Amino acid sequence: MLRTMSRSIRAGALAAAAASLIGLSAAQTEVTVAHTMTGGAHRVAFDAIVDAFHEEHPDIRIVQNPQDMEIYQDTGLISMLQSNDPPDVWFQWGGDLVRRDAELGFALDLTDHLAEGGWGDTFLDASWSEGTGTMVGDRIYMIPYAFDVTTVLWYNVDLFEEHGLSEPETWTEFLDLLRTLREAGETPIVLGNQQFWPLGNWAGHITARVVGMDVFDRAFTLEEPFSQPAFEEAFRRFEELAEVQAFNRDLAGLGASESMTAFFQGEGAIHPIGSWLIPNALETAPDGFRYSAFNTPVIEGGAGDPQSIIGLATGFEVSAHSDVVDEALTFLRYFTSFDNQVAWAEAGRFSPVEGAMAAADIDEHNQALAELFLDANEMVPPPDTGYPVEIAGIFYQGAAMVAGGMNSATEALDWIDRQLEPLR
Amino acid sequence: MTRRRPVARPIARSVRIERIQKYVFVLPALLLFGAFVLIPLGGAVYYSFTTWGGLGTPEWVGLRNYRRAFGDSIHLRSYLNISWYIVGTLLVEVAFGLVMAVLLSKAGRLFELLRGLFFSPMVLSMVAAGLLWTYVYDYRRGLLNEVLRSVGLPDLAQPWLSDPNWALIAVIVVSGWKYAGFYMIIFLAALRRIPVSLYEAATLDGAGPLQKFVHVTLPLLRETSVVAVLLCVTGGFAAFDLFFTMTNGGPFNATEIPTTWIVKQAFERHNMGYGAALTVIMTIVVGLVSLVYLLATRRRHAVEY
Repeated sequence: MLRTMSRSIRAGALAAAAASLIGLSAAQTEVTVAHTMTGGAHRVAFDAIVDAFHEEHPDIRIVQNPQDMEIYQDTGLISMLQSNDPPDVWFQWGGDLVRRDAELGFALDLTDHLAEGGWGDTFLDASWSEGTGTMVGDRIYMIPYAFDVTTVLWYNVDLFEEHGLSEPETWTEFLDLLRTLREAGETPIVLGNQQFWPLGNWAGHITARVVGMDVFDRAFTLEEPFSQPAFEEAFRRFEELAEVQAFNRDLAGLGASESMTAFFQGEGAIHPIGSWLIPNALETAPDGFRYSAFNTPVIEGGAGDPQSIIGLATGFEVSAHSDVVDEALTFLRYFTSFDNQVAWAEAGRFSPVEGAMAAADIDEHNQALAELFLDANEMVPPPDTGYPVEIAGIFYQGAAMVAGGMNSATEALDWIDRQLEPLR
Repeated sequence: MTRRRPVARPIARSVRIERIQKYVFVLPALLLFGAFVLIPLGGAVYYSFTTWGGLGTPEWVGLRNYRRAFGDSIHLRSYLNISWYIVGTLLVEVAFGLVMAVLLSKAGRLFELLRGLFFSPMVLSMVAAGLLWTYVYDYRRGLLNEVLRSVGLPDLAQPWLSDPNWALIAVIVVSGWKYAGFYMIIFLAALRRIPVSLYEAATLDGAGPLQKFVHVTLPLLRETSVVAVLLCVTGGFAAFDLFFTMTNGGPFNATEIPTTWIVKQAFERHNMGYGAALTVIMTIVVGLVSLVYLLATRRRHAVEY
């Protein structure tokens, strides 16, 4: 009898628990968010923001779908968007991919939503432009969550001090500095260009500085050929780098992360790469490793903005086919609120929300990059996100051929145009 | 006449059943082959006539992708590279495997141990082998350059995988290290089937070791060699993982092979249509090469013993 009663109580308790779980799940609306934060301080901060959001909004559940960045970029996002159950919100790089998602009808037009309650006004003005990559025409399709400077010239402070060097102001001074380092037996620039984008991004910046953004844009949209005097002038800068033997001998075969490790180990004085070096330095640089950064020096006679930076916005898009647009936007409003963006900035990301960077307690390197960004008049889009990746890939390889001493500027530009011929 | 009918009916029925049975037994394999080979291949052929970035609707472009493929210098170069790779692997895998099989075919513990050691790289996956050798070839701290520096030859230390003159050779060496043991085992099995009496007769005729190898061993290994060469050639065209992990086609396309170029086009540059066209071309090339080779070697070298 007792056993039967006990069984009944247990069955009743189970039924009640199941009913409450069913009730809870029925009351909650799920918003799926696909992104590339598989670890690091920013993932910790993001998780904390999501947890806090769940507490404030028990009726909405954020379901994260993180993927390795390369997989996400190559096949992951495309597969998800093509599936029967695409994410409601997804991470995207500003520029050509936002344009693609908008034109194919995957991304929701967010312009009116951002106008509601002045949400859009809480962001830095620079957030809303085609150059930043959040807009297509006059419509907004991406809510930025970070600005990334994709190339600055990081340098080993101890090596610079040892050879009595200081940050160069102009390209001529920069070449002199590289010669001094080479003559002293140092590797002036250490970089891993196996995948072409590390040097390619920097090459894009140098080229935009020399040819100016209008010519740069027309060439990358295939309105004009690359073989023209302005680009030859830009590619001569790469010839100069090859002439002074600026790079490590294994430039062409070394991986990007391996070259960063080599920089941390003092195997090169300068490492041109993006803002993501800072969290990597925290994890892998030896204790006491001192580093700092300067922007690409002013290139004398260049037609572009001499103080420009190269970078882009990254952020979230919302699915135009989502059934939970309101809930998705509620989460994005919460995520981009001032307090959360201060925490986001303290996790190492450059927040696009007005005042968040100033209010955040960030280290000197992030602060320096923030100043670089705020002082810049123009942001050059990295070719592989600002323009079709195929065009960028061919440009990157052409630039690598010259910097690696394989071809002259003229030969490389001819090669680029031949490769691009089927796309015109 | 009337008596035949009851006998003929069961025979005709059993022939019919046999015919149906054949198809029933083949059906599962045919369904699997259709689902996992024919339908995807058909899909690839369709996409090869389109331009498609992986999202949205493919746009029909006719033969444009094929015209592009035959004017794409990197694509054409990838066939040159794979040809050199196959020639290289025929030497360092098949020929070297044969030599090792002959040298290590004797009985005894030492020979058993050496055969085991020589075969051992086969147990590694290609990706693991590629990564392992990437560290061996590393310019800064790689084993090879460290050895060269330690024996007083620092000038010979090279960025092996970053130098267009060395990268393909470096990959071929790893391929040989990995697969020579496999071909050694194949040739060992064939060597053991050669009757000892043939060698004894050759000895009585005054033949030395080299003459025995050339006039007895080699002719009797022809059938095995045909299979080994076919495996090496078709396997060479299908190569991908070693190149992907060691060089990914670089430096400057010096190790670009059809498969790495296809993956780059389809998945990195999101040119699914062009990638599909390159895949169709490669399928035809490999099919033709295999067919020509099989026809050329068909029965001609069969030696019965």
